[in-house]
Amino acid sequence: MRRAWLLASGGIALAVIAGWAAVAYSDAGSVQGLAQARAAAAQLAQTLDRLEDERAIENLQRSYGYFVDKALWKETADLFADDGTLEIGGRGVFVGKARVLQYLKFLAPQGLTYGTMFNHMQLQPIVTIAPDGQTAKGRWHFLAEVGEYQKSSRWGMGTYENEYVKQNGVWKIKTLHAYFRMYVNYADGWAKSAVPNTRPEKDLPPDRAPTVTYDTYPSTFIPPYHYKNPVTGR
Amino acid sequence: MSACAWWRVLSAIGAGLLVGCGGGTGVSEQSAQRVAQLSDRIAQLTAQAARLQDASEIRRLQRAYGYYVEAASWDQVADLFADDGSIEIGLDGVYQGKERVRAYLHALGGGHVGLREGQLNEHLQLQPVVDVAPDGRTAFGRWRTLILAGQYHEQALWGEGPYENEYVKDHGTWKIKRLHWYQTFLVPYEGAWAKNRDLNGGIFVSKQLPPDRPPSEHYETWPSVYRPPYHYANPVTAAHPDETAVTAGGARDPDPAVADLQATVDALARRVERLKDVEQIEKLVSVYGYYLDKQQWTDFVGLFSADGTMEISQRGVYVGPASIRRAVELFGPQNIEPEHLHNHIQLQPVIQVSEDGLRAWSRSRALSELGTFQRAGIWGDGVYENEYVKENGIWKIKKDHVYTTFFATTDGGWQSAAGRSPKPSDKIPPDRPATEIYESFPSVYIPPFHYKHPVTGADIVVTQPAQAVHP
Repeated sequence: MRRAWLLASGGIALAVIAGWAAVAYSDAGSVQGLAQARAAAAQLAQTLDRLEDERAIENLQRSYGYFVDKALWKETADLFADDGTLEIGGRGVFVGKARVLQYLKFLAPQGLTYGTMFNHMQLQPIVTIAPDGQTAKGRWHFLAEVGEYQKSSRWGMGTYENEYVKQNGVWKIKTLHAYFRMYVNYADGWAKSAVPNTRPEKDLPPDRAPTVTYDTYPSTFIPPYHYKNPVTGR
Repeated sequence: MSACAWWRVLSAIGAGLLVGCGGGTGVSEQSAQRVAQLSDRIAQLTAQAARLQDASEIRRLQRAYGYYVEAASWDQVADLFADDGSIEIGLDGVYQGKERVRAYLHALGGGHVGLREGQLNEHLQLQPVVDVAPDGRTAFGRWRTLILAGQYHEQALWGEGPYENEYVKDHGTWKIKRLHWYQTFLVPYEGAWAKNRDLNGGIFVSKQLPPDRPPSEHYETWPSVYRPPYHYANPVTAAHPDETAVTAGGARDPDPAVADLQATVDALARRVERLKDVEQIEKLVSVYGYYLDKQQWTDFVGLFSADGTMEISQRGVYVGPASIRRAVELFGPQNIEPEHLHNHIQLQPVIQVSEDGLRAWSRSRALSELGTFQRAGIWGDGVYENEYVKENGIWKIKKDHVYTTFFATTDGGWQSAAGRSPKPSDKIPPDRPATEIYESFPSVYIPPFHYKHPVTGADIVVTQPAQAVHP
């Protein structure tokens, strides 16, 4: 446009100058271009950071599931930050990696024994990364198949609302909070049976009381959402 | 003379109109050209990253739908739709426009917002295949739901079926444009799909609240079998090589500032490519499951590389597509027959891609619903440790290896699982014996992990539990 304006002002000399000016402009533009390109690259890098963070957290939580399936407790506890916390069902809050490990070992010995089923499928992630990329939250579902051969089979369902923290570039579980929705005996199904929520155990007292006390199915407690409605933003 | 030098001349004669060259930080014409090229590449990469972001937002949208449905938060569900959005559930017909969607959802809830005491309405949102249009304005998604529904002391139901949905980006926000759920079955918990026909033939509330349009497709629910059309072509056999890959660009520029930008852009290009790889493998895992459900063997086998292998349970290893094609007949003929169920719900993928972007691995799992009407109902669970290879820009399955955790009848559950992993077939023998010997439940076997611990970075060393192999 500048070129057109200059041409319109007439004169061969001016046109020549304009030609030079255009070259000069593109040259000046490439200095600017370099700065602009750098800025665009930095912005892209930030977008990629968030996308990679999301994938890393998916892998983290899904790995949690694969470890829990097989009672690989050491590996499970190692997914937590040093000051990470665990709260599952109604048993209260366990603080710090050592206590997390203690809690997990309370459930079953390390490594699954013959005839034990402890599947916890990790499903339906909604992961939200904080703008600074240092913390994140995630809502997940679990569907559980638990039991003992010739003794019991149970279906279980629930929701996690977890927090994650990035330390030295590695995402870790900061807060694991599994809200039980329903546990039922297989033979009965959820028309006939419902197992009540757990409560703090005498043999394994928590470090802190449960953050919320609620009942499982047939009651209808909905764990609060960490995110807003993705369309209305409310 | 460089453009910059010309500019100094022009400035000197007072014709200057523009900013100066910045005291010698200017770049040569060649470098300027390179900066322009790099800017183009950044723009391309930014567009590709935006599509990845779109897909992520759409997955979030659909999963949010599931979390609201299970809470019977009908207004929150309706708000996920575009103003001209539509909903079609089972064979209830099409309800057009957000307010009609809202009315339909409220009708589904029996006029009740929120769950009633003792009500269960879980609709797990699983197995996504999300494809965003290149312009980032519209998208398609195939999903499936596993339903656990009922009312305490009255009824317990299992349900399953896929969605084929459309999404639209409206003022920067993704919304549901068209939600279409195909009902495979909704059956009582007791006897599940083995003993029960589908409960309602896909009709929920359309008698009380007639739809704006009749069902867009006619089909019958369980024990009939229907294959809802896919919005996507086979991602391997019908694929065009990915020409959008932005590759590293040539020799280093002599200007250190430009060379630095070059290196930055190359690194960004690799990252975009790895994220696309992960997304494509996630899709491949899902697509594999949908073909397996319906025994679409030609499409299924087409997902494998020429040297691809399949190892299922203790059946041994089948090598190459021809051999795999023969082997899958063990599970039934091409195209599933009526009264048969062969669902393999694909879940929980942990995906790793090699540094060079040519190989990848996944650990994932399947929850299987199998059986024949009035004969057998089976639940199964297994873990995959798979390998993939990228050939001409297309990801293919190089190794498909599923470790059976258990098979149990829908009547007895896993406490009575008679858990023997299927052994090699005499009729269609494998090319190689099983790579690992183990037994499924009640034995316990821990499939080795292909990846390192995500936090400690150490190898995940598994010690198999005692008595892992059934005596």
